[in-house]
Order: sequence, then structure tokens, then C-alpha cells
Amino acid sequence: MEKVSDFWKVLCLDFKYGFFTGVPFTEFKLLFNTMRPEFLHYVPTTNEISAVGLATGYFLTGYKSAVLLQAEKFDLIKIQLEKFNMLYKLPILIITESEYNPMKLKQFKLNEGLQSIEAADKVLYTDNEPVILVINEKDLGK
Amino acid sequence: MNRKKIMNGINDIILNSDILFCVGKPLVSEAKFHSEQTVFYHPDDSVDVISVAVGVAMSTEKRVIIIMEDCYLLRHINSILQAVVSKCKNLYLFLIVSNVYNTLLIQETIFSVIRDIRSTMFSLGFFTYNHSNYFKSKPEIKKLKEIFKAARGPFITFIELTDSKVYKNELNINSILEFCNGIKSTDTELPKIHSVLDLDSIMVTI
Repeated sequence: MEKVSDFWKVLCLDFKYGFFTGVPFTEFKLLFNTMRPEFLHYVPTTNEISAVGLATGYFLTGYKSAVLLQAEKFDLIKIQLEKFNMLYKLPILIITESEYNPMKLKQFKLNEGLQSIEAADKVLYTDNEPVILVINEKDLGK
Repeated sequence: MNRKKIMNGINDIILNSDILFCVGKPLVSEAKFHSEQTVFYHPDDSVDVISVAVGVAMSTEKRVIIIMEDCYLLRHINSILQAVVSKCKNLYLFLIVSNVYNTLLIQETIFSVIRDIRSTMFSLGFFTYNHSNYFKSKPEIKKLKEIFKAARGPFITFIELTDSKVYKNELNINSILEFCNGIKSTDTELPKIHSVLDLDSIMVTI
């Protein structure tokens, strides 16, 4: 079991993901509760499409960004990802709680260890396409 | 006033350092800006470009301008809320009011149904203006340039269209890719994150 502070340390300090966005949801209660402005910037959005848009905007100016997304809302952002991010090769990291993957994007699981973050980051900026990181909060401890 | 005249007017008032997002097929086909590298054309209405522009405005100090039509506003009104909440002083919206969503079918529009959309926008938090008259002649556009220099966001201006004729120009996808590469190389900085030596100490309260 990984510590949640180690997860943030690797993601925010080692891999420089500074901007997070998304509609808050209960499955990521621990992650949302442990976010601190000292090491990341989180913007809650009104819907999932705006979240993807904001993260893409941040990426365009050179920041690494991630979207916290409830897996069942994946269908909502399908058009935005297909007609924008994948068309112009704008990568964003999508963090979800289940393995639901209707677009068949490359998927990495945190229960395989913190090195999955490194693998996801590597693929993200070589393929220039959105990548999914699956986190089950049961695998994260305080 | 047609779209071409309005787009030429906007071309005169923007600065070279501004980042432009031009969305919607009729506007994209009429747009010809001098600072090609910082203009993002997107003809597809189904994609939410407003939130992308908000993201850019939040992470840079350059002025970010979105040019769109009223049908696009109706489609992505959620993102308008996001734009207001961000309180970006460098975010400017040019809303071209065509009052036509479909040339074959006469239908109600957001401007005819909502009692007063300008005051709605103002109540949301935008600085709201109507600059339609400034686009009628060249000297007036010069005046608008000075006004626009001093304006601060979140800013929305309504420009009314009297002639909705569209002259078709082909759009090259390479110009969009150039934009993506241009903005990255000119404006890119490494992410600024506070150096935190001991993350556990911050999370004591958990």
C-alpha cells in the first residue's frame, strides 16, 4: 500500500504536475482532502468538459496538468478528447477510479506501484496523447 | 456590417502579443489576422474552446481574446460560468450577435428568449459593453483601440451583425498546429512549484 503523501510527492514534486482540475466526487475523498496549495493548484469545474479544456489550456502554456475524473463520466469528454486533444496532440493526464476506458487510451494502474506514474508520464509526452492513471483509494493509505 | 468587416476591425485593435481564439465555422472562414502565430482557429462548434482559453488566461499574463457567435455561447454556456469564476483580468470575449442559428429554419435564439442577456452577463461578473457602433468606420475603430487597451477583464462585448453573408476560405490545419507549437516555444516556462522538503509535515492535519 502506497502512502498518499508519497503519491503527491512523486506526481507533483518529481514529475512537476502543478495543475489539477475536475468536478469533485466522493470516490477520491482522500485525494481531495490531502491536496495542499503548497505543492499543487486545484480548480474545481462546473462540468467535465470544462475540466479537460482548462487542463489543455494549462498544457499549452507549458505546465503539466491532470484531470480528476469519475470514470462513469468518461463518455461526456469523449468528443472533446477526440476532436481537440487527440487531433492537435495535446496530452493531459486523466486520473480515474476504475478501469472503464471507452476510448481505449493507454492505461496505467497505481496498484502496480509508484513507478506507474513515471511510465504514464513517459508515454504521455512521447505519444502526445491523453493517458489514464487508475487509482483505487483502497491502495492508498494515510 | 458583415463578419468580414468586424473581423478586420478586431484585427486592427488587437496587439501582437495577444492570444486569440476564433471559434465557429462562419467566423473562421472570414478571419485573417496579422499575428498568425498567436491565433487559434477552430471551426468545429462541438468542442469547448472557451475553457481552453480560460486555462491559457489563468496561466499566462498575456491578453487572451475569444471571438465567437451567439450560437456558440448557447452551446457552451457552462464554460462562460467557468470564465467568470476564474476572474482573469486578461480574458476578453467578443460576442458576435448574428441571431441566426440555421439559415433554413427561423427559430428562437438566446437573445430573443432571455429577457436581457447583457444584464445577465453583467450580473454574472463580466464587464459588459456594446461596441457595435465602433465597427462602422475606421476612425471609430481607432477610438476603440484606445478603449480596448485600457479595458480589463473578464470583459464581454456584444457586436451586432446586420449582414450574415459568409465568404468561404479554406482553412489549413497546419496553422493550428503552428499555433500550438508557437505558444509552447514563446511562452513556455517550467512549472513553478514551491519546493517542499518534507511533504509529511504539511499533511499533519490529515
